[in-house]
Formats: sequence, structure tokens, C-alpha cells
Amino acid sequence: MYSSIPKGLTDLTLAIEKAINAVLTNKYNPFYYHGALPQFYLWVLFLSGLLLFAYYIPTIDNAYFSQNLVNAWTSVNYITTVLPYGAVIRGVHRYAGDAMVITIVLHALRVWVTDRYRQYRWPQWVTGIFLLLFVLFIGQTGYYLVWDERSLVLTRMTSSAVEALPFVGPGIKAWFLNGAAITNLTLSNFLFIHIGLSFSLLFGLWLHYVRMTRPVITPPPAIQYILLAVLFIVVFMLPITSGKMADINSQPTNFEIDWFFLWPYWLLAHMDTTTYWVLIIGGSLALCAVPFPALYKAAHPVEAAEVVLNKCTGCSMCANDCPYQAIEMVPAPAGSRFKLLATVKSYRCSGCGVCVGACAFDAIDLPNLLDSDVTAKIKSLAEAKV
Amino acid sequence: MSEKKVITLICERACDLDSVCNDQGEVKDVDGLHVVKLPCSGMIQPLMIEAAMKSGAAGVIVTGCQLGDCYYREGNKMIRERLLGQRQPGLKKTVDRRKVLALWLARPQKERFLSEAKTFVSYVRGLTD
Amino acid sequence: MGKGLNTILAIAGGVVCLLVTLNMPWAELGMNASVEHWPEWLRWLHINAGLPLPDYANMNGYATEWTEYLKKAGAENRFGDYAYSLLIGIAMVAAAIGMTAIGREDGEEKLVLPVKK
Repeated sequence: MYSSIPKGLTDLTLAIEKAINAVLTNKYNPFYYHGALPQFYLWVLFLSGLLLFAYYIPTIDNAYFSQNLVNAWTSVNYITTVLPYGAVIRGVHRYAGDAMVITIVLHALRVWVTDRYRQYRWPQWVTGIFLLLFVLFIGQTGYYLVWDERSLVLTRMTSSAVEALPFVGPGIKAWFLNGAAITNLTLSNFLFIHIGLSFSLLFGLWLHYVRMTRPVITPPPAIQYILLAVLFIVVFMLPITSGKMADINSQPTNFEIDWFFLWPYWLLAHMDTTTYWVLIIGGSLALCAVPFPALYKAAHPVEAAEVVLNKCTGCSMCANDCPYQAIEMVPAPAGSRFKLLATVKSYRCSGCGVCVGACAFDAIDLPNLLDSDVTAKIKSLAEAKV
Repeated sequence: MSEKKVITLICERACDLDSVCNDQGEVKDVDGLHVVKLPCSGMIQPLMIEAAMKSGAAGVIVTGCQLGDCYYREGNKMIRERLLGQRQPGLKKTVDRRKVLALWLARPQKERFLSEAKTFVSYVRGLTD
Repeated sequence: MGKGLNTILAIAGGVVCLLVTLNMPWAELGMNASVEHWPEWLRWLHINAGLPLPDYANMNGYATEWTEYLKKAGAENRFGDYAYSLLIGIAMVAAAIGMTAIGREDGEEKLVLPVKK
């Protein structure tokens, strides 16, 4: 029964893609750039974030302390209501974040439906889950930075949820709040996390891309225009507003929920902390375990390509062409006519045979499908008289 | 007089021809059109195409996934560039380019394959020079 | 049909993009067509150098509609900025349609190898 779900979804996806190809052709089919879409939104977030950063002030001082009030909330308010196009950049930043979560989930779904997450592809899937978790957390810190009443509720909910973790809880809470209680240090910590983790996404993305040659990370310009235009239009239709300024002596309870980032807080509000953490941690581990080989007994294992050592000339065509960085050129043994020798990292090999197609010297083979056998079959079919 | 054969080199995940082939891998509707399956169109060596021509085939159809959707990421781009001479190894100059057709079709597109294949088969069988 | 339609879409996309873009200064002026709202250097050129500027008076209907909408949706001020955002979004969609119409001719499902003479 399980196999009929992905099969049904696969048929549906292929039918949708066929319809889109009929209008836009494969060149502009967004399904064929599903990884590049969140990557593009990441650049939008970096640029819009940089512009916001120029005017943002990470402090929590409120009316209690000073007359000419300058704090996080007033700086965000200044950006939204005084700075030319400040509201637009703020809106672009917020909606790019939401769009990034949407496009990541769609990307993960397509990867799963088209069976591109198992065997030699498991590192991409696992790093992808971690990237999604990081993106969700970064987005949540973005909501804390506004320092309106919602930020205060979210901060308190987070610190009490984190404190409940066994052993590490109080330590993480102290790290999170940058002290024992919410102070100015807390907000500058949130800013550091928000920006610092965002840049560390680039490291995570390197891990995500490292096993792929020439990863497709840039959609064509026409699609980029649409991705941006969506943000600009939504900024007009749904202007961003802040809630009331946070007062640390008050106890607000309700907040408007952004379902893309704040759904964990909805969960937290509707269950006890233990169940929450079991769900979140268990769910994340379960997602990471999706490519686990034992789940796929029926799937045929990959038979990795093998180099025929005495024929390899070290031309590197196979290494250049391999889509999964599975071939490495090493120095040829002493006494060889050639400088380099190809070697296959079998744990990265997909068994696709692109290396076989690249080799002009018949020096690499898929053990279960020799190209000499294929050529012999072609010859016999071509010669056969009916 | 027997018809010259046309060989289709197709990958496992391009258009699904199983329902239109008999047990020997011959397409039922088109006389003399044989299907050879590979895991990926990127595995096709240009010398396989040369071998087919030398052995008397009228033509070769290379079929892979939609460009941009190769299951193995780049296989169809690789064979495409090899056929166009943009990537080594390429087709020998002696191969008659009119006798090679490349199609990039997704799994549900078997009708498109059949219509292109029929046109191509009658075209290459009609080539006299 | 294909090539003709693509050319029409490309031209239409370009024209719509241009027309919408020409209205972006109106949004930038706070959706107000009156001369007092123009920046000083433009006013100077208009008065002293006879620089002709588009008459945005007929866009003022949108100004009231859009301001009402934005106020209801929660925006406090700088309504022209939001209008600018909407117009730039529409211009980009029109441009993307034009670009796709031309670019999709490169979409390839069938490759016939070029025969060198």
C-alpha cells in the first residue's frame, strides 16, 4: 500500500509537469529548478537583511527607562514608517522568508516523489533536513528581533521550552537569553544568531552541494523576475505591521501566527513540553532516516563502476563528467605511460554509466552492464535479417 | 526484401515504452524498430551509434529524459553535447548526421515518441545516398 | 502559430512593462499627480527648461482606492511606497512573460543534428 502513494504522487507530478512543459517548455519549467528556487530566495534575504541591518537597533529599553526612546521596536517602526521604501524592504524580507520555507518544502517533496534521496544521494537529503531546521530557527529569531508583544511571548515560550530539556536545558536557556533574564544582551544575541546562523547556512549548503557536479542553483532570469514579483505584489496586498511595543513587565499571551515559521509555537501552546520535544526531535530524526537502506529492501543495489586499470589513460573525461563527484584522478603508479589514473569512489557511485559514455578507451565499466555487451547487442539487432 | 533496422537507445526513466514493445524489445507498431535500454542516456557511447550504422542500421534514435530532469542529473546533457560535438568523445565525422535523432521525453510521453519515431523511420529508410 | 504568438507575447510583455514602469514615478510621489510633490530638481527643469512630464492626474482614482485598501490592511503611511512595490511587481511579471515567450523557443524535446556541408 505504501508503494501506491509515491506512485500516485509520481504520476500526478509527471502529469502536471507535462502540462507545464507544453506551455513553458522544459527551459522554464519551475519544477526543473526546484532546488534553485530556495537558493534564490536566500540571496534576496541576504540583501534585504543587509539593508534592514543598517537601521536596526538591538536593544529592549522601553518607556520606563528613557524619554527619547530608541530601541528595537522604534528602529523597526522607523524603518517601516519613515525610511523611504523601508516598509517594502521589510516586507520583502519577511515574505522572502516565508517563500523560502514554501519552496524548500516543495523541493523536498519533489525530491522524495521522484525517488532522488536514497543510496548515493542520502547526504543531500540529510543535510537538507538540517538546513530546513536551521532556516526555521533563523526565521523564528527574526520574529524576536521586532521586539513587539509577539516577540516577548515567543521569547518566553522558547526559553521555558528549552529549559525543560534534560541536562542541557538550563545551559541552553542561559545561552539563548545571553544571561539569566531578558536584557539588552538578549536582543543583541538574537541578532547575532539571526545573522550568524544565516551565514552558516552557506556552509550547510556547501555540504548539501558537495556531492554534485555543477549543481543547478540559479533559475533562469525570467523565473527570478517572477519570484521577486510575487514578493513585491504580496508586500502591497499584505503590508507588514508590528504589534505593540514589548513591555517586559507585562504578560501578553496571544499572538498572530505566521504558519510558515511559527507553527512550532502553536504546537507548544497546545501540548506539554515533553510531548513537544519528543515530536520535534523525533520528527526531525525520522525525516533524516527517510533514506535509511533497510526501508527499501526491494530496490536494487547500486553496482558501482569499475576502472579497467590497464586501459585507463588518465584523460579525466569520466571524472569531469561524473554527476556525483564519484571519480577521482590519482597519480598513476610508477612505470605507467600516463600521469593520472581514474579511481571510483563506490559509495558515491549511482550506477548511471555517464563515465562509460565518456570513455573513449573502454577503460571503465558498469559490472552488470558491460558496454561491450551493449555494443554487441546493438550490432546483432542491426544486422538481423527478418 | 527486409527493412533496415532502426535502433533506439533509451534510458530506463524516459518515456515508458514497455507497453508498446514485444518480448524481444521490438516496437509493435513500427516494423524493425528495436529498443535497447540503458540506465541513463549518458551511458551511450558515440561508438555504439557508429557500430549500429556500420552493421547496417538505417538510423539511431537516442532517447533520454527531459532536459533539466535527468534522473541522474546530467546524463542527457552529456549525450546531447557529445552528439553536437561540444563534448568529447564525439561522433566520428563519417557518421551521417541525418540518420541520428535525439528525443528528450518524460515518462508519460510515449505517444510523442511513437509519432516522432514513425516519421524518422520512414525518413531514414527513404535516404538513398 | 508558435513563433507568431511568441513574438506577440514578447512585444506585449515589453509594452506592458514599459507602461507600468512609467507609472512608478507617480507611486514614488506618494500617488499624487500635483506638481508640488515632484522633487525640486524636476520642478526646476519643468519651469525653467520646459521639461515635459507625464500627466498623472488620471491615475488619482487609483490613489484613493489603493490608499483605502492599504489603510484597511494595516499600513500607516508612505502608501506610495507600497504602490511602487505593486507596480514594480506587475512590471516584472510582464517582463518575465515577454522573456519566457522568446526563451521558450530554445526549449528542446527533439534534436536533429546539424549536417555540415
